[in-house]
Formats: sequence, structure tokens, C-alpha cells
Amino acid sequence: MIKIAITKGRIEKQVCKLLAAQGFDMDPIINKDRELLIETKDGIQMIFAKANDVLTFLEHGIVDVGFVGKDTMMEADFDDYYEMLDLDIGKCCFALCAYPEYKTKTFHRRKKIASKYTKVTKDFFARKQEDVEIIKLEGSVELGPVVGLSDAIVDIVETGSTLKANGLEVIEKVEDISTRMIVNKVSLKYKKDEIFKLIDALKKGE
Amino acid sequence: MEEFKYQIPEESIDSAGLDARLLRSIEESLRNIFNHHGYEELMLPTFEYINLYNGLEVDESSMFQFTNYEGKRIALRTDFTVPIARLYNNANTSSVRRYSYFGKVFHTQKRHKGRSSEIFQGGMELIGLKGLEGDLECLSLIQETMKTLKLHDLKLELGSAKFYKRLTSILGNRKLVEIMTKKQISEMEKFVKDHGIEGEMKDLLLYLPQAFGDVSVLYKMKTLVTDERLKEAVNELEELYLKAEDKEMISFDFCMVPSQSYYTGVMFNGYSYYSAHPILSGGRYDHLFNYFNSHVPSIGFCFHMNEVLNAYTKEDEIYD
Repeated sequence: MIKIAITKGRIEKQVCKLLAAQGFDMDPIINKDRELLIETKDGIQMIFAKANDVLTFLEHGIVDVGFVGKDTMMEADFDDYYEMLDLDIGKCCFALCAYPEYKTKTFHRRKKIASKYTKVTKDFFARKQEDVEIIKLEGSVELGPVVGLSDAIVDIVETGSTLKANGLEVIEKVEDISTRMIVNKVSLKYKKDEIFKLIDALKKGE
Repeated sequence: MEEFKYQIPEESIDSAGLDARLLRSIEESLRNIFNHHGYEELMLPTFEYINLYNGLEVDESSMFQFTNYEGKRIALRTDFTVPIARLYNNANTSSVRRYSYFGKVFHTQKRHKGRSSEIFQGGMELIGLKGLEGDLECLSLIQETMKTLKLHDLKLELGSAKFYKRLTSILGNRKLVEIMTKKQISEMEKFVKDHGIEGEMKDLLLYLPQAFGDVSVLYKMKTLVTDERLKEAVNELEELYLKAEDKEMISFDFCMVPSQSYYTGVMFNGYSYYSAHPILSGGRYDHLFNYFNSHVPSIGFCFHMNEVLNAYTKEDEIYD
């Protein structure tokens, strides 16, 4: 039996659709009410959790396999797992966004960058060999430049409509994001056949 | 609030009651085996100069650092192998030495989501015995100590730092290290395509993320490898396997990435079904002594005692 943790919400729906298309029994999940732990006819146990918790469950060996976005993985401090598949779904990107003036403006002080993803932001500016002040915001990060707290933001961009509505634009792409299948390192060694059955099915679905 | 009267710092770990008894009894049974085979137990310094690790690609940011009275940087013990290598080198000998040790190493953690900064290890170093003879002695000691734990479903996995180093030097690409470390199947496919890799190398690379398992994997590797030095690395593992008296627990992983930059030959990872992380790791390090300006082939391994304890605790819940 393998145990899987899936990020609640959009990733949950997309992964279940992929698995259902390959003949996995997904009815208990589609029909689920408020249960957090579900077992399917294929002998798979599934739990649904917040993205960061998917990593925590995997680290502690509570689950063998996790489905989680690259954005969460990049911001987390734990990365001792196998990252076996890029499912090519849930695609979006991290981007540096600001008012158009940002591109031409000369700064006579450290730039201020607001983000929910402070680690991603720090790594990005380190690669650019730039020193900036990073301000952590928890949500509606676009507010940073709008209310004058920061000069720019680093955030996840999907359609860009929120940016546009506030007069902001993408200055530079930081990194592509998509949903990944990750595996606990010890689990893979004990459950190779079961996990590769899942991998092969998901690859076929691509 | 006087919380310090009730709580311990996030960095620390304590063992009381059953855990302490269990840890000490595991330690005792390992010590008996090490003693029986003539391994001399060492008690190593708790503080070391950080400069001892210069040039060894050891991550300084995970050390607990202090400045001593000389104004020099020192740190809480971060590993056992390098201090033991220094001790051997100071002895100015070229004879074979067998050492064992038990104690804690200290690594800072960014956040303590159930992780501790105190890591209890018990292990051995076999210094001055090269090649197959040393590998075999180390391997059989690993098997004997693993068995004495009386845990169920143990696995001992062999990898080759020689194989890894040759492959990454042929392809000379940093991206490949990450792909191998994380067994990224999708990225490996992209890598092969983007670099226009064809023929035998393509087959080898695409197989690599699943090149782990029993001895059939080793024989499959033999059919895939054409480069002479890669062949040599695979053959070395085969010879070790064939000469090992006990083959029961052994499996292979040709995608294993060295956890220490100084590994040069066979590498070991020990697993319990009931522990989420390896209970044992080790490997051959023939070039570490170059750093001390001498040439001494060596090999060693250690148990991660808290992972062993985790495995015991989980097994108790299941089998009792």
C-alpha cells in the first residue's frame, strides 16, 4: 500500500483527473465530503493537506509520495526527497513585478521588495548580485507598490490580471512553476514497483 | 514567564526513560562488536577549529560557531571522520588502524519541524586498508552490526562514488548533479534532449533514475556501460558483492550521490522500513588524507542512532 499526500484545491483536482484518466479508482475522492483521509480500491491511501504540510508529512515518512507545487518546494527549507516527475500542470511562474518606471528608474538607496516568498526573492537577487531589502507580506502582495511600501514585488503570476488592474507589470521572470511528484527517499527503496506504477501512469497521461 | 524552567531550547534533544535505556543498549551491542574486531574506541574533542574543514566542502553555515580566547573560530563537533583522520595523521604511522566512536555531532537547523540539532552517532573508521580487503571488512562489520539490532526489513544499499565522479566529469554539467540527487525523471529526459545525447549514453542516463534495487540492476548496468572507467566502477561493486559472505540485505543504487565530497569508492546507505531516513551511512575515502599531505586509503560508516531508535519505536507499535 502506498500513502499519498496531495495539496488541497487545484492541484488535488488536476492530479485526481490525471489518475482517473489512467484507470485509477478516484470515485471516493470525487464523492468525498469533509474527510481528510481516504482509501481507494487500488490500495492507495490519500490525505489532503496544505502545500507546506505535504512536505512535512513526506519528511516524517507519514506519506511515501507527495504532489506539490514547485513554488512551495523552492520556499521550503527541506529538500531531501526525490523529485521524480514534473507533471506539467498548474503551470505559472515567479516574477519580479512593479510599475513600468521601475525599469528606468535610478535608485539611490536599497530597493525594497515585498513578497510572500522571501527565500525565493533572496536567492533571485543573490543570482543577480544585487542587495535589496525584503519585506514579507502574507497576501495581496500587489499592495506593496500600490501603497508605497515597496518598489517592486516577487510573486506568482498566472494570468497577470491582478497586476494589470493595478497598473503593475512583469519586469523579469524569476522561475517557472509547475506541479511535481515527490517521493520519500526511504519509501522509494521499499516500494519501487508500486511507485513506478504510479509514475508510468502519470507519464502516459501527459 | 520563566519558560526556561520548563522548556528546553529548540536545538536540543533529551532522552528519558525507555528511549535512554534503548539508546544505551543499542550502543552497548554495537560497542561489543567493534571491540570484538579490535576497534579501539576514541573520545574526540567537542570543539574543533573551523579551519580544520577548509577545503573539504563542509557546510560552515550548519556549524555552531564560537570565537575562542585566541580570537580563532571554533565550532561544536560537526563530524567524526575528519577529527579521526587528523588523529591518525598526528600519530605519524602508516600501519592499519581501527577506530570506533560514539557521541553527538551538532548541526544547526533552520526550523525545528521535528528535527534536532543534536545528532547521536556511533561508527567506525578503518584507516590504511585499501581496496577490496578494506571494503569487505567494512561491509561485513556493517552487516554484523545491522543484524545485532534485530530490526525487521533492513536494507543495505551500495553505491559508487567512482561511478558518480566519472559520469559527472564526462558530462561536466552542474545540472546533472541535481537531477541525480533528486532522481528527476522529467528533467533527465529534458537534459538528454537539450544536449543531444544519443546512443549508449542516452540509454544509460534515462535508466539512471530507476537504477536501484537488487543485483539484477547491477547486471543491467553492465550491459549499459561502455566507458572503461565506469565499467571499472561497476565491476568493483560486483566483485565486492560476489565476495561478500552474506548477500541477503544487499541492494544497489547507481544514482547515489556522495553525501561527502571526499568519498572515492563504495558508498553505503542502511535503511529500516520503519524509519523515514537512513539509519546508517558511510563510504570509502581514499583522498581525504591528501588534505593532510599523506596518502592513506580509508573507509568507515556510522549509525544515525536516533533513526535506529525511531525504527525501534515504530516496530514496537506494530509488532506488540
